Amino acid sequence: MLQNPFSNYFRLLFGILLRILLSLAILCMGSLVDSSEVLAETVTPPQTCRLGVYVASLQNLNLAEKNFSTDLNIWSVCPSKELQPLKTMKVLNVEDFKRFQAVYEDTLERKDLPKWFYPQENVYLSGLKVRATLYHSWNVSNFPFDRHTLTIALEETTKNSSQFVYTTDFKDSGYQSNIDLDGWEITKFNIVEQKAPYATSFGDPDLVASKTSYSRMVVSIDIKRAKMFSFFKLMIGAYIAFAVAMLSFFYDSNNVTLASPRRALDIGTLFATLLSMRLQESVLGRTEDITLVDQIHIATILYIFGTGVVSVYSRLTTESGKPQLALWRDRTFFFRLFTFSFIAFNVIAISYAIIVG
Amino acid sequence: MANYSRFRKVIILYSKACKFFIVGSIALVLWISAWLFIQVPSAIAEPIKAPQTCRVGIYITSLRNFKFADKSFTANFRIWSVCPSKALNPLKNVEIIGSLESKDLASSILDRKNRSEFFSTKEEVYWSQRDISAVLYQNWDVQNYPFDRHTLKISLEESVQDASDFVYTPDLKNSGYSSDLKIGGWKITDFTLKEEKATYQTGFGDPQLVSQKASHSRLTVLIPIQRTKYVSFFKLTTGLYVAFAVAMLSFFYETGQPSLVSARTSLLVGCLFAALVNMRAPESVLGRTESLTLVDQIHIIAIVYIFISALATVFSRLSTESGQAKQAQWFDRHLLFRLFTISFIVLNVIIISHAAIVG
Repeated sequence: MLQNPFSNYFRLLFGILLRILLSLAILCMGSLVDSSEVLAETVTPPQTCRLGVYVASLQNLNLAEKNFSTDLNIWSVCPSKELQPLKTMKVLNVEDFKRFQAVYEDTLERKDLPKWFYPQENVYLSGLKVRATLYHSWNVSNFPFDRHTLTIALEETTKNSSQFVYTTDFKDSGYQSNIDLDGWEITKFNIVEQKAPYATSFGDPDLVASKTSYSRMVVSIDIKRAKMFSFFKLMIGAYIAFAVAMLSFFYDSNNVTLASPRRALDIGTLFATLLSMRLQESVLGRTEDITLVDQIHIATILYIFGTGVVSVYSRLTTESGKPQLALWRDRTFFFRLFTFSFIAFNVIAISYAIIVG
Repeated sequence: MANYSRFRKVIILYSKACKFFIVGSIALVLWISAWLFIQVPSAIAEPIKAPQTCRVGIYITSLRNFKFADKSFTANFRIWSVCPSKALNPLKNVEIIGSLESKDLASSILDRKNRSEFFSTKEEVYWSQRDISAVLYQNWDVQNYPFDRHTLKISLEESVQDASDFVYTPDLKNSGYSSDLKIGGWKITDFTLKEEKATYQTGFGDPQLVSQKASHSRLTVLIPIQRTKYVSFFKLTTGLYVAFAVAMLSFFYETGQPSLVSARTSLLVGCLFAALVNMRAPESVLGRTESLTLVDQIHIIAIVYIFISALATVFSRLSTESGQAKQAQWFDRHLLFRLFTISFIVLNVIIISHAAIVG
């Protein structure tokens, strides 16, 4: 019996194809098993503790040094004793920091009556008292009508936000109602939990992503000035200097003996305003903004310079044989123009500061 | 005969002694050579141990309080290390170079699974962190203020182990600074992290060190910054410019008055005094410096101009006395006033432009 020579060839080809298909099927099955394993991996929610902050005091609101001091009571309520967020927490923008003896020497076991961590029966309470001097960049552009938001930020340093987050204790957080702020008053208190993102993993070898975030508790305290005397004290020198400079318009440029006091007044008031301008920097600190106080001082300096220019103009008019005209311009026109425009400028600048401050 | 035999014996003894001496010498040379050969290979065979290393990085979270007068700035940063063994803890031995004050805000040591490409043979590595707030020394060069550019430097050095025993490997990938870092009136233009060896001309008494020079691994962060606001310069110089402008007005006063202590002279003295008082203000801002800053230059130029204006007053007075009052007045109001004002403006433009370019 003669065999077809192609039958062997087809059988061989069929065998090879069958093997390839079987291999592909096994590979697909394998990948299916793998992906199902990946899908089955459960995402565990981050652990949490209830965290609260009580601001016991606010002191030394120092504009020149750009800081303020505060006494804080911080506590945590955790579902397990292993969680110790107060030990791994840091205070942000801290200039000086003092950790007082813990309110509770050890973590205390308490019954979870409000059922924060239900179905657990017991929870773990820890607390500490902190005195901190914190950096604050005061924006004094609208002094004395400036409003500020003091920020106290506490951040977890060890576990990222996928592992641990703070839960805000809104109920017990707050501030001492009779805080003596010396010329300031608190208008609002807010506490909120945020995720602070970082464009780095801080070298964590367990993290694949190059970004991470940490849970942060932010206390915001809005304050505004209750007293404006410091503004009055800072500005009185410049205002008096301006008023004296305006008096120079009443001196006669024609009289050579009286010409001297007019110039002396100009230069004296300029000098007084310059000194007053330097003084305010020691109170408000150095700033790269033109504050309301700067605006008024610079305007005063320019007005004094203006009176000097007018004085020369008046002298030239007198020399050209029109002394009466020069006198009228000085006492009636320029005096009123300078005084009223300065008052108008001050009203506008101060009103603007009140509105946007 | 007897003498001959005695002589022969002596010769034989002598030749034997010589042979013994030569053989002994050869043996001694061979022994010494063999000993040397044995010693030298053992020295070569001693393997040179590579220094241990940890991956160390830094992340800047805050830069503030740039105090020119105190020559300092404050930085908050987190440093971390990833080490192949728990025994290595470089953050414990780290020294912050040029630190006037520093405090730890938080620190931790954790065992971590190693998913990174470093220490790939290790299943588990040790990750340590420290959050630090430090006041650092900075010698601010304010010569070209307000166009001054500075490079803030934070240096961390291994204080215990020599560079032959331990070196930092900089974590370039994860190091950097917070993008929302706010430095009032400044901006960061670059960030560099590098490892270098700090050499000392002493071994610090280490008996194990053969050479008299110790070398320690140092991680240096360089942060160049430049100003974005120039308002403070304007505030510092406004008073001076107004004083100069008032001084220029003096050219419009005639010098025909009977006394030299006239309005014109008193005006110039007042302006000179105002300029001098204003010159003291930048020192409280920029600190005391041995270099002639741009602000100093502007003040000195204004003072010199005021002095020359006083000289012009005397010249004008002398001209008036010699019966040339009209010429003196013309000379003051038309020539000197324009010459002084324009040259002062040109000079200011030149020095300010120079400072802006080289700053």
